[in-house]
Amino acid sequence: MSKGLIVLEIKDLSVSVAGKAILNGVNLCIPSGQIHALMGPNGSGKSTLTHVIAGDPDYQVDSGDILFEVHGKPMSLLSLSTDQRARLGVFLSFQYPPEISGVMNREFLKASFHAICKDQGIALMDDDSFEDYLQGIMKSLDMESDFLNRELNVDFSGGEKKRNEILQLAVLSPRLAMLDEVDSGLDIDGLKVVADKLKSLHDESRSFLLVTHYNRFLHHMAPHKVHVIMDGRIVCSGGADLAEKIESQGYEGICDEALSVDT
Amino acid sequence: MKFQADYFTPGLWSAPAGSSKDLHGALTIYQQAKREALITGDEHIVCPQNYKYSLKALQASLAGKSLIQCSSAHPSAYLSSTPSSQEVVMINGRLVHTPSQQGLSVQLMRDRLRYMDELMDFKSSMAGVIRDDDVFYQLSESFMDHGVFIDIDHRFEGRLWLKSYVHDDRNDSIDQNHRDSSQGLYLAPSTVFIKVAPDTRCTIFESLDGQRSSHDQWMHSQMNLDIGQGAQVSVQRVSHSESYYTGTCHSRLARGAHLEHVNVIGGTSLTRFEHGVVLEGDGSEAYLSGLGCAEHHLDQRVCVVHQGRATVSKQTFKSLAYGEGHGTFDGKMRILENSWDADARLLTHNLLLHDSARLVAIPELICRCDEVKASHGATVSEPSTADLWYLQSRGMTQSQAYEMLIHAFMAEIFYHHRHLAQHPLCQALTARAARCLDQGG
Repeated sequence: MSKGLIVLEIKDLSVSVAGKAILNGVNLCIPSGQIHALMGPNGSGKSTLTHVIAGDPDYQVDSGDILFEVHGKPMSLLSLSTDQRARLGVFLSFQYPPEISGVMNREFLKASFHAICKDQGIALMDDDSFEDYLQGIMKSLDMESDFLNRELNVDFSGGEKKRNEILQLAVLSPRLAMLDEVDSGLDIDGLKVVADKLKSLHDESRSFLLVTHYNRFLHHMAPHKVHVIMDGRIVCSGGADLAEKIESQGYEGICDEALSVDT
Repeated sequence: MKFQADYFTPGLWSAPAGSSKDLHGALTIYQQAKREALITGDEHIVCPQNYKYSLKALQASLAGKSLIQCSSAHPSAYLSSTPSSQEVVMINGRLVHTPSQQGLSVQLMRDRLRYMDELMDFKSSMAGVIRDDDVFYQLSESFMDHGVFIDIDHRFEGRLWLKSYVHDDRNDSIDQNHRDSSQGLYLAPSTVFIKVAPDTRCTIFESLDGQRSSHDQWMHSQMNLDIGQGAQVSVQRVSHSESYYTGTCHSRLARGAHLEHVNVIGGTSLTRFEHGVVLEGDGSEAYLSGLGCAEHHLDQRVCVVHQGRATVSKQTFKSLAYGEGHGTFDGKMRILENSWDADARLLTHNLLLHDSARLVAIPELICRCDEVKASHGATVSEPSTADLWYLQSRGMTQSQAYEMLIHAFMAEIFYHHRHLAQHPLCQALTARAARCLDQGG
């Protein structure tokens, strides 16, 4: 994919849950290979936006569109199921991934990987080849092999759950990775470790949409763009320095400034 | 409810010589079912108690049919390979292969001197778990004569396989008696009494395979397990029937004895299994687990009686129902007077895969002693939509995600029993559940 191609374009998206409006005309554009950050106060619609992009059936799309680049052309995701979107290359790292006892991490990764390969017409790996592939990724992420023998997120610490989400991202190799507060609950060292791992997974063919509250995390990630969402719409966008402003002025200050520019 | 007076046709009954009690046992269950029908007076099953539930379901299924018991077995025609030296093979409840291993003795019940005394002694110990009017047990008793008695002592090494098959010989031209009875119900009862000597260790694999047939079959099994002092026994059993299956297992544990029992059960018609355990000796322990798949009607009943001191029981049972399948799990723990320091736990999880499926969980605790630990819990739920969405968000289709969740639900039971998980009957069960789900029931 050539640099500058738009991988995700959201047009005037409005979303509701049980009749209550959550997103009110969101517009967002993410070029291929770029890292974008989405910031905003609690309840502003950050997580909702990522869930809607991933196809969460709990949300009702009232208007607008979500376009995803497929073979060089924009394709609407709205009519596609969650798994179809995932197989096209949309990945959501959950803020609170569920614990599913009885599903072993290795089997889960294998089933997911094969589902995507099959859909994309890629030859399936045999068990040995997949194990080699998996071990290579584990090594690059400094993760112990025992991780694979555990039940999916069961009795994982907060940090381990984040690392497991990153492992999935690395194995499934999506074109758009949305990370919903992947930095929450991490100490300073843990934050740097997670950021370093994520940066190692970023390249020209993969875009990131980071949902975060913390400028410290963005220091590590160096986003191309930062967007501020409030009351279900993106009120302003800017470079990495916007996150600095938010830290010094708060969201209200940023919002007032944005509104004065609008008028 | 209509109940035909001529539901039983003696003319079609081909009982083996000298076993007139067979007739009595089979009649008893029919008559009991008839009484139940008269009491409630309608076709709806209103009582959640699985005993009546099974009787009524069985009665409703069997009304108007005649009963046929196989009089012969044709192992050479049925078995695809020669049984190994570790296998006890029964076809239609008849012993057709006896293993030869040190520390193992297998004989027909009727060939064993004083077997009735041993049975009566065992039954008197099991008074807390066998109801006087339990027609399923009465039915088993009726077929004791040609049952199998197995003695296992400390010299025994390795594993014992008990394999029971139903072979419906109505299509065999050599059996003239059954030629005109294709509409009847084919009864295949098997009875096994296993006596494990003190300080013996053994693993028993039991499989009961109800052969797919165009005719109705009724497979009935009974296992009595008498575990001696300090003995350690592991039983892994799987049963699958395409028609009716009823089974009971009764276990008695002496001082310091240890029983691990895992039971996987499924069937496309009426399926019922009952396990009664008496922890008679001090320090005896029973770890019971099971998995039931209800495609039509499934009853699981477990009753553990703590009689000795410092006894331990842990029950983990799971059921899943799909399509219009329904069933009950009835788990009882009874802690008797003077059974101090008992530790009794019961947990049952039930998964409904379709809206029309129905499962009833009835955990019960009766405690007549202080200074004990006891707990029980039950859940009935559908597959988690959050879990489902998470798996789908990683690229799995809905049916793949469902299949993974079903396997996950079953995994706890299979985790320490990989051998059982690989059994063809178990794999058929899980595949069938996933397939039914994929087809929307």
